Amino acid sequence: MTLVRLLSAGAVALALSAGISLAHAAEPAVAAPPPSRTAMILFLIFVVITLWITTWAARRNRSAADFYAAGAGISGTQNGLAIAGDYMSAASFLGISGLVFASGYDGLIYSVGWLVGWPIIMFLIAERLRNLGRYTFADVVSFRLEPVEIRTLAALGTLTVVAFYLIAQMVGAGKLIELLFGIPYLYAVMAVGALMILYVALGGMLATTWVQIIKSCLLLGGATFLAVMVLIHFGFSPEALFASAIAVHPDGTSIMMPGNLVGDPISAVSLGLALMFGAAGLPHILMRFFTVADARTARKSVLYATGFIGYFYVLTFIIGFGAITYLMNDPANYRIGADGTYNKVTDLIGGTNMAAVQLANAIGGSFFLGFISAVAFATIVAVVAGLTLAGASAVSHDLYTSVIAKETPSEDREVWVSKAAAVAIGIIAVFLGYVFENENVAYMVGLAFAVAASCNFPALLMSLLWRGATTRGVFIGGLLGLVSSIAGVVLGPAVWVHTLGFAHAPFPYDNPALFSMALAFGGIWLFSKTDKSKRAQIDKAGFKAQFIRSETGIGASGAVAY
Amino acid sequence: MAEAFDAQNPPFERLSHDEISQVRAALDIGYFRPGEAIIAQGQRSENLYVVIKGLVEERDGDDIESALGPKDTFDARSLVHGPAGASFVAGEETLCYLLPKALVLELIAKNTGFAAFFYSEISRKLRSYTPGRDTGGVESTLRARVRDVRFRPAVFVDASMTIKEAGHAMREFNSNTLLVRDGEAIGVITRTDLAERVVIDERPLSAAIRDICNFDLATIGIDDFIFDAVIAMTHHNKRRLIIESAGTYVGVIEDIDILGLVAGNPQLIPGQIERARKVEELTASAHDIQSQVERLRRQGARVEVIAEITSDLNRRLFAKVFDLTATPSVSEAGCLIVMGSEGRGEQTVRTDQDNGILFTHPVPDDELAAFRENFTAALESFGFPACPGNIMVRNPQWSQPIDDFLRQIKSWIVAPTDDSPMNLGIFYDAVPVTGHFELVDRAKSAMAEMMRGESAYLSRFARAIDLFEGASAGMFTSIMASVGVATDEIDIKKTGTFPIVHGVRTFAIDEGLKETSTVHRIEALAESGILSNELGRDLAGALSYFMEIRLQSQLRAVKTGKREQESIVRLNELSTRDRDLLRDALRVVKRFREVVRSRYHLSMF
Repeated sequence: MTLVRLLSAGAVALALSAGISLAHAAEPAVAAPPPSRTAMILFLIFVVITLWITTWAARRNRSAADFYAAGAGISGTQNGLAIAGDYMSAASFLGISGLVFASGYDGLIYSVGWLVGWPIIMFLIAERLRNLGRYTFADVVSFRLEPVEIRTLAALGTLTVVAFYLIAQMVGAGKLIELLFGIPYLYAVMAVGALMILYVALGGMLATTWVQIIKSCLLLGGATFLAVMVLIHFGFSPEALFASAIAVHPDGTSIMMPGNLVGDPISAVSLGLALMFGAAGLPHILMRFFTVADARTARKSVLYATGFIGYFYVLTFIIGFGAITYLMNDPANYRIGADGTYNKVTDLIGGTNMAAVQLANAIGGSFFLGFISAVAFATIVAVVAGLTLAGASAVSHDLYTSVIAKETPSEDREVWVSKAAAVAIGIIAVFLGYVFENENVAYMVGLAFAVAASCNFPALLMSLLWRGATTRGVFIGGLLGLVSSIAGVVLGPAVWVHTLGFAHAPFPYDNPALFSMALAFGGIWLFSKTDKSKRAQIDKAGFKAQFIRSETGIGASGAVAY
Repeated sequence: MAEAFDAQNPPFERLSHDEISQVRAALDIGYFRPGEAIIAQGQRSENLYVVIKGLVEERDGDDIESALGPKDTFDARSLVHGPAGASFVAGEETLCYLLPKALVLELIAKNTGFAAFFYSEISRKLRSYTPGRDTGGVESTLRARVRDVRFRPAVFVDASMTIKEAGHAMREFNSNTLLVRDGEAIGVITRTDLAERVVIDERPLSAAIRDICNFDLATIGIDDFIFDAVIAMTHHNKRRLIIESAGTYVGVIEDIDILGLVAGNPQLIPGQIERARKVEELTASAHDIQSQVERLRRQGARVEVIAEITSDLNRRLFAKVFDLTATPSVSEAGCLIVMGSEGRGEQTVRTDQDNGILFTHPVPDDELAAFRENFTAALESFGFPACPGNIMVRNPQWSQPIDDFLRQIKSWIVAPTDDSPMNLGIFYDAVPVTGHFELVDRAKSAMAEMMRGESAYLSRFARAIDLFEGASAGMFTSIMASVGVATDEIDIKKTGTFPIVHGVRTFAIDEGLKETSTVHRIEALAESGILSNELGRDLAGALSYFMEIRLQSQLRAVKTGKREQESIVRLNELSTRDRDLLRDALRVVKRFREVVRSRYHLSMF
């Protein structure tokens, strides 16, 4: 009920801002074509329907059970779909198809990298996380290490990852709303931010599993339809599709070769590392493993999630090439320069991030445009909600409770802090989303993965698998990874040159993961080895119990003398 | 001055004329300046105060709990039960009647109706919310039949019996009245008769009762109205009537029995239970425990008090059934426990039985099997509904030696099946009833130890609070219901009581709290800073309100025979004030749910 109400409120807010901007559109300054009214209305209808279905399914699922029956947990398939839902963000859908649209083959590096992350999670992390029976990655790492330091580190890492990840979602949503409603980007981002704050602070306490499950199904369905329509056009022959794309694309045959997007090997390795290991450090994904009943279900859910995600990336690849063939020859899709020419890549209305949405319009007209936009928008809202919740809980449970508050705060105080944090995160996200307007969203998510792979992942892996890891080592090493990855991002070309406008980037590579991960692992090793403190002995002594627990799910300490 | 004392002011209207005179003679008047403490917190009071003029504030620390005005009485608790839980401070210039403690205690001992008021006055929160008194109560009682009263069976003795023997007979049969058979004639003799003849007329103890008994019997038919009985008593100026049925005398009804029908007299039940020698003899007590719930409620007792009295009585009953059914080795090794709402002391109208037994060491199989069967069968014969979750002594899972039971708990935690969380939750509410009390403590400490740090498990456990979300007592629901689109039925158990009880229980397990009742758990949580004092207070208030209206609908459900409606409240049947209260209480639940959700990360599910 709450959700539908909120969303209708949000829809009204959007419609209102659309109205304002329509008045605004009367002024000649706006270059965008008048948005399709049909698409707009359909979009609003679809968004409301989507969210209604979500609420309905969540409720139905609940009322079927009686008191306590919920204790059993979520099934593997359900959790797999939910994980896929968390993972298939706007970045994947809009960003990867946009990258493929712009660079062809190299767009795949993201899909492949993100997919390869899953076996890593499955073999290294999933089962152990579930067996340890803790909630968040901070809880797991502080299983045997000193909680105050670890929680500080975890909270900082989580907040940074969430911030980068949110930027990508905000840019995606802002661009989508800008394109669809023809309102200025700033207003679009603000409207999305306001909606997200409303959702999380007021009604966002809705359980997210069902939101993600429904969203996964819708996104897979929508993307399948787009891809099938493209393939039908080419008689289900990928060869014909690629041939036609090569013919249309300004880069010609080179779009079928690596090197367009990531030039040098160091950048390629760095990006690859970030994408592969980052997933295992994403706070909102890691939390998905404690909702299942046992380690077996945890493994199973990763298997299903990998399947869904892999299938989805195949679709985005087809959609990207489809966009090349459908859009590039039609000037209606482009902002035409003064000389009547246009750049087939950069001048796409709404930017390359909107390739998939424009393709929907080209294939199915405003009806399908409205539908795909609504699906993409629902995707963003759901992912944003999950991220904001993870961020807010890092602030309230980790940072506030362990570090800031002088004495242990009451639980209702924590609720207040977490809501305030959600609002703050929302405002920051709007600001950053505005600043990073023209970055490719998949690229921004890549940066989030770099931070996750350099801070959260090393801390988690080393504390789980290396007996010698101590509090000091993990804290300093994790912090090194965090700081170096942020520094690498800020000093790198994307921020230093493109966003801040400097001429030359001090750090030449787009993705810092290679260096920051090495620093993190090296730091953890070095500072643990040299740690002779009393705490270090406690940390090492706790490893055996933790190891047994993480392998079997049965606490060695549970064999208390009765 | 003392004549101005209003004898109609409750509870004094329950006193007899003579007793009122006694009160008036003993009255004193006190004057208190504003801000003066009349009874300090934690102190015993030597008087019962009745406000004449002015205003008295009942304070807990700095918080004003309630304000008392003219005709209000305080403080029964510090008079009868020990130190005052709150302080009473004059809010303005105040005049009070002072009634000496000794006299009040004497009246309580003498006058059942007056005593019942004090019993129900234990928790004086009554003032903040007095349930709509059932004014039809007394009237409907008078319309009851004589056979509905728990009268004493007729005891016949021969007229040749001596006074001394009669006295012994009265004691043996626990009766104030004997029917005396003298050939064809039937007479009656009472304890008062005996006392008067011996003390005043100085008759020898060896005299036959023939000469002193009364052959002029005042009788009443067993199917007559109580109303008629009262008239007959007044008419004959007698305090007891002989009950006639089909030409024979079957029993004796006393005025106190009628009072019991109106006021309920839970203080009599423990004696009844104590005296029972066979399981069948407990049936009446089991029935009485249930019927006194409604009577206490009619008197205006708060639901907490009713629940407290009821669970105390139920536990005595359980203990007695245990004594009667347990074989020597079972009673030597056993510890009978009650769990769930019964354990938390929150059950009023019986909804189920959650009980079990732990043993210090294994007992012989055949004895155990017989006991399991007999015990549960005994309770069933009293009309205790069987537990739907099969949490009963009869179930071997719930009657085993402590070591096996601890292994059982371990397996519920390590390898949970669908009902493991439920079992853990119900067991954590266990209290020992009789036998080796320490076993429960041991099992619970072990369980808290095993659950420590099991955050994922606790969070799946806590998740049940989300099962029944979203009830609203707002305008929208009413409007939708009035046009038939939605229902205005609110399930109090699912949307009110359960989330509070279960959320608090989750915290209790997490923190290893020893308390069992939800209110005490809330207090403990507030004390350790896990919940703010404010939320703690609100929760306790909301829970009390839910229990109150649940009891209302339970009693209605029992009366109409629709047991499935037992926790349903219809919005359009509530007064505006009740609806407001319900809305506030539901809001508290919502706030608490958010706290639980945040602590246990339930938004991930």
